[in-house]
Amino acid sequence: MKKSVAFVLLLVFLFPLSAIGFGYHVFEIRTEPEFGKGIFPTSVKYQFNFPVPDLIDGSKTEFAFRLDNGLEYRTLAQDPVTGDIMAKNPSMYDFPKEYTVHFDEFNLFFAQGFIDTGFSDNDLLTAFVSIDGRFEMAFERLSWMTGPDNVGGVFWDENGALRFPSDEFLIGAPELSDDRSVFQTTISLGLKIDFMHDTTTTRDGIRAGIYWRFAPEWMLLTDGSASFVLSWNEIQISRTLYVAPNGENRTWFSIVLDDYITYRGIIGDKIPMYIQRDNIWGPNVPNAANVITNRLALTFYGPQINSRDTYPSVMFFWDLGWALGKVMNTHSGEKIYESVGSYGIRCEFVVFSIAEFYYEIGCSYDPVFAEDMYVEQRFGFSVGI
Amino acid sequence: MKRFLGFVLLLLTLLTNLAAAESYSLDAYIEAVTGGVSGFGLGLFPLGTTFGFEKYISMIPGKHKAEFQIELSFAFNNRTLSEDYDYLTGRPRWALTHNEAEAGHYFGSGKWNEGGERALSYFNPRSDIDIYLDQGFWDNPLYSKGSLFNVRLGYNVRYAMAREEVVFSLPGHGGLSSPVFVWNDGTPREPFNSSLPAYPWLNGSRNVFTDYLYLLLSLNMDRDTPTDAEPEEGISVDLLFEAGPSWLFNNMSEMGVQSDYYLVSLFAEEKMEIFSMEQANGWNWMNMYIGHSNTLKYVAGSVVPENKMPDDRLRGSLEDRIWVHFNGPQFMAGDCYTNVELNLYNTLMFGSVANEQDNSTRAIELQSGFSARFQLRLFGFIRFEYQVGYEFIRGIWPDEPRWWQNSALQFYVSI
Repeated sequence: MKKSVAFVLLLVFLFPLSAIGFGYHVFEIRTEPEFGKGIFPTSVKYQFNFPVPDLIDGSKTEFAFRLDNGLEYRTLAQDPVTGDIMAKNPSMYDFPKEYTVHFDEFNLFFAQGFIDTGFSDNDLLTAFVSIDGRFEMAFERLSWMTGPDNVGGVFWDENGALRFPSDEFLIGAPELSDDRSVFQTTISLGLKIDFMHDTTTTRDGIRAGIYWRFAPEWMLLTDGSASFVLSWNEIQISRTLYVAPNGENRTWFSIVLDDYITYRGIIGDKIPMYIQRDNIWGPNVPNAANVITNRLALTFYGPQINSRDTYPSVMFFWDLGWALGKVMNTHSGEKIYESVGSYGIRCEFVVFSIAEFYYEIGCSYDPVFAEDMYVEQRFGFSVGI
Repeated sequence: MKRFLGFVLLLLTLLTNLAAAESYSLDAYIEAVTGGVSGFGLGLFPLGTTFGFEKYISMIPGKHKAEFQIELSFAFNNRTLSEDYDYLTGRPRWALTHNEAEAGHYFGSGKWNEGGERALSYFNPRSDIDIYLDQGFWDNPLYSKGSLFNVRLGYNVRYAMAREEVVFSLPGHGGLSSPVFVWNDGTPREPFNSSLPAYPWLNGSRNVFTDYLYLLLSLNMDRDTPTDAEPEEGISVDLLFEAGPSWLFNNMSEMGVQSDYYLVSLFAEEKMEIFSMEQANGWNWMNMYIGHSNTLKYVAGSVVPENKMPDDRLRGSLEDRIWVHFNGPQFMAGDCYTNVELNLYNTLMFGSVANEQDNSTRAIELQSGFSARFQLRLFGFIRFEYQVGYEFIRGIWPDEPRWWQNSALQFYVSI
């Protein structure tokens, strides 16, 4: 209770810096296939902007409160007890691995831009820092216990027994220990470079970013369920190969080539799942100290219909990923050098950037460890993209 | 699947037609972040969000711009099964003698706890998408930028699940030894192994998809108040029609019809400023206004969905409300202020019982109460609220008049 009061007081003391009123915008809306066939939103990330003046004339200063909340599905990738990677020995872990996480994350965020490029809303350089807090609660997937075929879950087996102990620390999935609820606070800082001419259906230039997130166990208010230092690095290079303009602001047809490469480095002994993200279609890149991914994509954009954000597109993509070095969240000290790969096609029709029809089919031609190669397709409609 | 695609095509057609009206992009807004509950992040974190996208477009030359809006919302919290209605017939407990009720089928009694302790609450993740187009005509005499008369045509679609409580999948089962809806082997448990006409949202797979169309006609002769800290004044009248018939994609699941209802509502409100004192910077020192409203509502149809179920399941209601509202000084920021509101309300409920199978029960009741509410709002994020009330006429419920109170510290957004 003392912590909750301290947390509220912290917020109260921070807010008087805000002057009058807020601006706000929505960053991202997500859906889950098991909830309303992926049509209805299950989580949203949005931001309230405090109206601060630009500290450097011509460059943007941003002070904001970000919230990301809702419900999402996760897939268990490591044995919670030992930390062993399940994909290495699939027959030992023959049970559903998806589970639900109800989460809320806030970021008190400050960013300062430098050097106006004149063609982008973003400055050429932007430095940022944020104080973050995240609450999570994990439970079985939404279809669990809805019929005789859905009795087995990640946490409970078909006989009603726990698969993993609930009274000890789970090194392979620290956030699933005890009551599967965590509250973690972190500090983030980073630097972004933006030299991209981006009009939605054409892109030329480069974007890059370096992002660090620190979660020491001595952080104020944290419950100590996380201990890591994350380094996230990304570069996107884009080139418009062909464009047929339709007036000044829209296009009839265009072809864009993108390459997006990321490097993720982690140190620490309690690394929560939400920090282990990758950008590969299909297989999960194992949770190693170093993860590199690359997406090469060729996108064909159809006509922008009456507005810049209503258009069809077809994207051919080729994804590669490498997990290099020590496996994290395990006592074994095992080192791996594993590659994964997939390719596919994604067709979509976007309406106002808030609704989309999509169909995608992909092949995991180089799955992780002992998993079999597979082809998967998805078709859907979602509101909010 | 065909019907699902039909629904998607309808939605896309609406959107594409609007795209043809004018080239534009939509502005985003956050409407509200619902408050948390204890047990989830110390009650400080939100369980749901309502947000949307809106744009004003010229539809009729010389008239006010029309408002196009898509509003999305989701919430993931628990609900409680009502013990007051027979789940096979829909007959209300209050319409029966004690012996008749003992022979009925009610959640929480009879065979409910056979096979293990069984809760009445369940997990109810749900989400709504609401789309409307609102066209205004003539000028509001108290607010020149607003319109005197508005016509709003809208479409609302909802998806909701009924699932075992989240705590059931946590270690120790949260104290439950058996789930609400199924046995431990996953087979449906009585009464969820057959259809429940009185609770169509709990049938079969308990995945509910419902939608409705609505038409709202509004007369506005009231003052613009950018925040709740300003005194309100004026008159407004709303006439609302809703239609959620079965043929409007409300019979898509194997559970049968999940909605088949029609609703009409007439609302009139009058408010008058008593006094107002301003600070030098335009903020309020203090103000007060009084208000009065009436709402006449009737719900018809053979299947009323959960989110449209009237109070006490009586189809008709007439509510009368009188209130006095005090706003305290704005301090530190425009959205930091206090207010106190005193309410006196009388609600007359009448008619037949919704979702009762033989439609045989009719009733009329009056509920009256008083409430006082104090709010401290900080920066549009934090709200402290204390409420106290006295219910002196309880209608069909045989309880004594009672006092009630509650307080909450909420993480809340309303902009």
